[in-house]
Amino acid sequence: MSSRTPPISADAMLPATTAAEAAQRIHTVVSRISQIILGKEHTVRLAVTCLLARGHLLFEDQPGVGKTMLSQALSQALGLGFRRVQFTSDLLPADILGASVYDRVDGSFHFHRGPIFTQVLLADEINRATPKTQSALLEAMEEGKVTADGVTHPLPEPFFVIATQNPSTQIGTFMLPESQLDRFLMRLELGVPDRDAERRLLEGAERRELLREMEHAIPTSELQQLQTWARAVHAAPALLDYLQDLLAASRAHGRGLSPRAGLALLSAARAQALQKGRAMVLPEDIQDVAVPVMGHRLEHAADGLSGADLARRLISETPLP
Amino acid sequence: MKTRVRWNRHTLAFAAVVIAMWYAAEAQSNGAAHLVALLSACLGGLSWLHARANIRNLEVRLTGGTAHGGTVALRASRAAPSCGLEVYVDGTEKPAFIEKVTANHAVTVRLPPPKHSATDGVRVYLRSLYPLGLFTAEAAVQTAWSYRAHPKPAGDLPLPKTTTGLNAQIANTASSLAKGNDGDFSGLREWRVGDSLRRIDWRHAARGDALMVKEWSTDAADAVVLDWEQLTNTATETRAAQIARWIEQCEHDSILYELRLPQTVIPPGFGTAHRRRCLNALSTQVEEASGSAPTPAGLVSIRSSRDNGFENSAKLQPRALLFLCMVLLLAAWPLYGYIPGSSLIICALCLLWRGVWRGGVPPIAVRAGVLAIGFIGVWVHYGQIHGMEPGIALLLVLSGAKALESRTPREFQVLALLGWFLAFCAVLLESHLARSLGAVTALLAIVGCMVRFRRSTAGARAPLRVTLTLLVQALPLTLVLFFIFPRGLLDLSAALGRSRTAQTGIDGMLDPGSLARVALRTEVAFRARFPGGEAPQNADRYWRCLTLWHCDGLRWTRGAWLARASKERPPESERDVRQIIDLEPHGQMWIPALDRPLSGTKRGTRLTIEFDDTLITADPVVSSQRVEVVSRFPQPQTPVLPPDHRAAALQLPAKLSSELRQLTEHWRTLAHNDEQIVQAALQYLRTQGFTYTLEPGEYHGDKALEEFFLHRRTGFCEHFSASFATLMRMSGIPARIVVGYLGGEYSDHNGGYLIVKQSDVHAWTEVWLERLGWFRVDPTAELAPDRVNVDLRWFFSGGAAEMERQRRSLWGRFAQSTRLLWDGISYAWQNQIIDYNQESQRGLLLLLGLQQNQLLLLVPSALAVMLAAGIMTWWLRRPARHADPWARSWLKLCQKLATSGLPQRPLHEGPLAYAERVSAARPELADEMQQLAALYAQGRYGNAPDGLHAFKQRVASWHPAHRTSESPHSVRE
Repeated sequence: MSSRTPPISADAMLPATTAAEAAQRIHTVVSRISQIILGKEHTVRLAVTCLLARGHLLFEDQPGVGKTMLSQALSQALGLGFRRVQFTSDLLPADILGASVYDRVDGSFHFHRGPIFTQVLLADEINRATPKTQSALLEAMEEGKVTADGVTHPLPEPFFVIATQNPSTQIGTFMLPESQLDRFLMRLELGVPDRDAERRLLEGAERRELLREMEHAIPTSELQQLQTWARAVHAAPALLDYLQDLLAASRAHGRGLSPRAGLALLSAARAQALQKGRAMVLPEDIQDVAVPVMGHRLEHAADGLSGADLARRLISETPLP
Repeated sequence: MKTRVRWNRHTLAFAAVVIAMWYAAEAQSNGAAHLVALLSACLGGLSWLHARANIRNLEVRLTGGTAHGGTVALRASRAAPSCGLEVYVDGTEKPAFIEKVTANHAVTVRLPPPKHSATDGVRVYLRSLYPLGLFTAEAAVQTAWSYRAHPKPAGDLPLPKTTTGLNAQIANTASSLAKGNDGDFSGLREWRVGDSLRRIDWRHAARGDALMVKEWSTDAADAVVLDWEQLTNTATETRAAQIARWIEQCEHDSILYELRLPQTVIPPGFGTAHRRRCLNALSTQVEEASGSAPTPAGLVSIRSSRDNGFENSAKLQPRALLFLCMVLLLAAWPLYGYIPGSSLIICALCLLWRGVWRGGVPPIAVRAGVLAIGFIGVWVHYGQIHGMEPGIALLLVLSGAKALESRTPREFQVLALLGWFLAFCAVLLESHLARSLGAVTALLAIVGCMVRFRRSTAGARAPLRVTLTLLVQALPLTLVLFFIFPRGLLDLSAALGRSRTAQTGIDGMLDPGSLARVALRTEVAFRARFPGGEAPQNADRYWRCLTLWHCDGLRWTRGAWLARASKERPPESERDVRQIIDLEPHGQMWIPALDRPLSGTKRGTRLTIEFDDTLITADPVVSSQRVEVVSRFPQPQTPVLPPDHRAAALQLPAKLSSELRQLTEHWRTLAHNDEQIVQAALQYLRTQGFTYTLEPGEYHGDKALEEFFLHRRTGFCEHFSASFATLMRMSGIPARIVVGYLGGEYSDHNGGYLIVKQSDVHAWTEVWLERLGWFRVDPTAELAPDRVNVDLRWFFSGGAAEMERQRRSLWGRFAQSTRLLWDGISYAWQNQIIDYNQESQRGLLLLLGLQQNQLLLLVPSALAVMLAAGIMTWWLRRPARHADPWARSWLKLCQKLATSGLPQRPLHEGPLAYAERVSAARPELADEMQQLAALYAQGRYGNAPDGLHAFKQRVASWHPAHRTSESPHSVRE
């Protein structure tokens, strides 16, 4: 979630027809990407939802399941600039953000922009970098700008970070602390495709070829339009009651979800509702996005239970008000 | 969660109050008192159910538990909210108080950590005295919050010396091998007794500082043995505290330590986990040794320790006391006039002092003084402290004294119960409908105060609602029990007499102006029914009460008692008029009867007919009574006048003026017989400018008669009758005065009856005529013929014509019908409730064809109580109504689908997801279901909810066909 966009006023109601139209466009994007990432339509939808909610995405999965491919496909389908940074333990903040370099010709410092100045940034294996580097990236994600030598450089719009993380069991990783996990709207797992999809993958053409040939599904301006609409989806008092019940339930077992997590859940649910073509959020939308949004935030809250499992339990135990 | 409702000492007090009420009611055979006693019992009984539901309707969930405290969410799962809850953690003193848990809502409460360890979950107790404080409802909840209370470190013994254990020796060997080679230097610490000299950092010591010892990271292998058994000569807690202190010390100094307890040995170790293990083992040891292991699940501990703690220690809110004091004043008010003023004043002052002026609790001497003054006052007034009125007066004094010392909830409760009984006392003294309603109102106000107190929240509305709910629920059962609960099992009749003599209405004498004063009163004197037929004509409604024989001019008195003229009673005939008279208490012995009575019976015993044809009872009429009278008119003739009667009927005062004598002489000379004299006198009254008025002015002294008859000539019926009778005697005609009532208002209610009020009071004369015997002559009727047909009020405000005019007007008709309706209700109250006694109950039994064994009635009574309890429990357990109308309809729809064979909707499932599932299971329902779900989603979660009515109708009219053959597992979860 990013704080730089101006909030939509409450009276900006989204008409139902607009929502339907938005759903139509989103569907085009999703189907375009699903031609490349086979058998993962649900994950693709959630990734698009995350993008619509202006959130950042964290993938936690084993290598080789198509994380990079998905990120590239996403940026390609939406016509966004894409860059990738491979995180290593010796990566420095300046390697990502950029650095001021002395120009001998005019005798002054010039800021050389780092790879972060793009629209879709894939931060691969983010937990291999040192905490210092991680936090530099995460701060930029939150602020939406980079400050170097007292000069502030805004990041392009839209700005979307997809980070991947190796499972924590692997050696030589610096796990992201909770406060920084919170900056990611969703955490997704791709997982290996099922047998049919894998067969199609094996039979089909080279993925990179397909990716290169893929056309933009919608122009960038429309993406921003969709993001604006997603903010205008109506959340009724009854729904907010449900959301609060859910937050309270999470807090029953230890620390629970922060208010920021509540906001994240709501904005993700709004984007999800828009994707379904509705101008209002339903409890189903919250439940759809609950596991990816709540899972990584509850990882440390539960003893013996994974965050995703705890999220599932909370959903099934919290009655609709 | 198992709920238990216990009795407490308030229950005992309440039971005593109810039993006392029943005893008093039985003793007085007072139906209204029975009713109030039963209502009290029913209210108390209902409060048991409410108290149970108050706790039982709660769901308790642990929402977090740490070492510093836990949070518990209480959710009222049913429609009834739960109020006034105390939440305890096992072993803690102070409860958390929750004022209210709204239906369908949850309240989260923070709790302190328990005192003792609870490894299998901390027990949380709920306790509530709501609604009336008469019962304690409680429940114990085993939460998943496990808690370990570690011994608090204390003690100053030095750390034991080290290392005899095998493990420690191995560790030692390892460390000695490691020493010097690759053990990391980890710092310096202060030298302690037992440290090797070789390890002292001498270079540091050379700088003049304290002796320091070098430490290596493997040094800790020198394990300290903390042995329980070695600390033999101290108490368990002290031992544990000492070991805990050592553990802290070892942790702080990074020393390996081993814990040896009688049952367990924890090998040397170090670090947080090891420390926790040791402390856990230590606390287990303490609990086992001291026997304070957690009690098995139950309510033992809460019962013993804090049962009365809160009741006795909590502070009474001034506002609660204020309300109760005001209500007590309200309850005591009706006693005014029956109870000596001193008791009332003492009680009122005490209540005002504590309640209104917020005075503090005065010292014991003052309180004792108040009590003493009150007792002396009662003693002085009555000369005794036995009997009903002295008892009530004492109760008032006691209530006042109790109010003076009330400062805890327990005393509040006692005060409330005292007030409860005071309200009842008002019914005991006087059982009019209005009085009974007043008493019930006071009683309900006290109940309201109790409810408000147990809720501990401001505001009168909610307690009022609860009180009215209780009343509405208690009333049906009260009424049923009133009729069927066996009466008169104890023979207590007349055990509770009363000393009061009511003084209302007609006195034993006729003073000029005395009847006019009575005529200004509007109370009902008596009511009369005519079971044999119609009510008599206006002209025949002369109600005879007593006769006056002794003449003193305008003033007449009873005179001497004479023997009856003839002993035989005339035979009763068909044409005689039977009357059932319900007499209000008047403190005298006379009984009213239509002129002229032949016989009278009261409760099966015959009443005496006096020599002057009046009915009297043996005892003064001090309570409402019913008599049956037979009268005959035209008046039966009395054949002879005995000489003593004649002498008494001709008695005259000594001094009479000559003008009057001349007048009577004149009449005598004109007339040939007595009848003509009477006619002449009446003629004189008609023609000589006499005025009939309710304000006759004062007539005093010896010349009162002349003053009235010859000069002022304005008077009320008493003046006319008195002067007429005197003049008749002067003319030689035996005459006497009859005092009674004339007329009465007819009411259609209860089968038709006459209401005779004090304002209908009347006096007329009877003269002895040889031909007719005692003959009624009403001089007032000669003067004001209308008076016979209309009552006084109408007579003086315009007579019969005016009465007719006003009676026809809308307001007149309304006022009259309202008045008659109210009187009808009062009369029915008198007949059906107050006079309902064991005879009536026997009649009921006979009607049902049962034997005359009243104990049999206990069976239907018990059944009624059980039925009422069942209905109430069901009502209290009714599910909560959803606040949102959309959700209500939706839940109805889900219920419909569930009954048509589909599985229940999981509580967390959204509308569209559920519609999806239903469609998959029953494709024929898919269309309608999905439309309805979409409508609901739009209505409940959309930004412009609309079409609620249409949605409701569609839900109501949709009846999904029942299909059981479809196995439920076809529905995918």
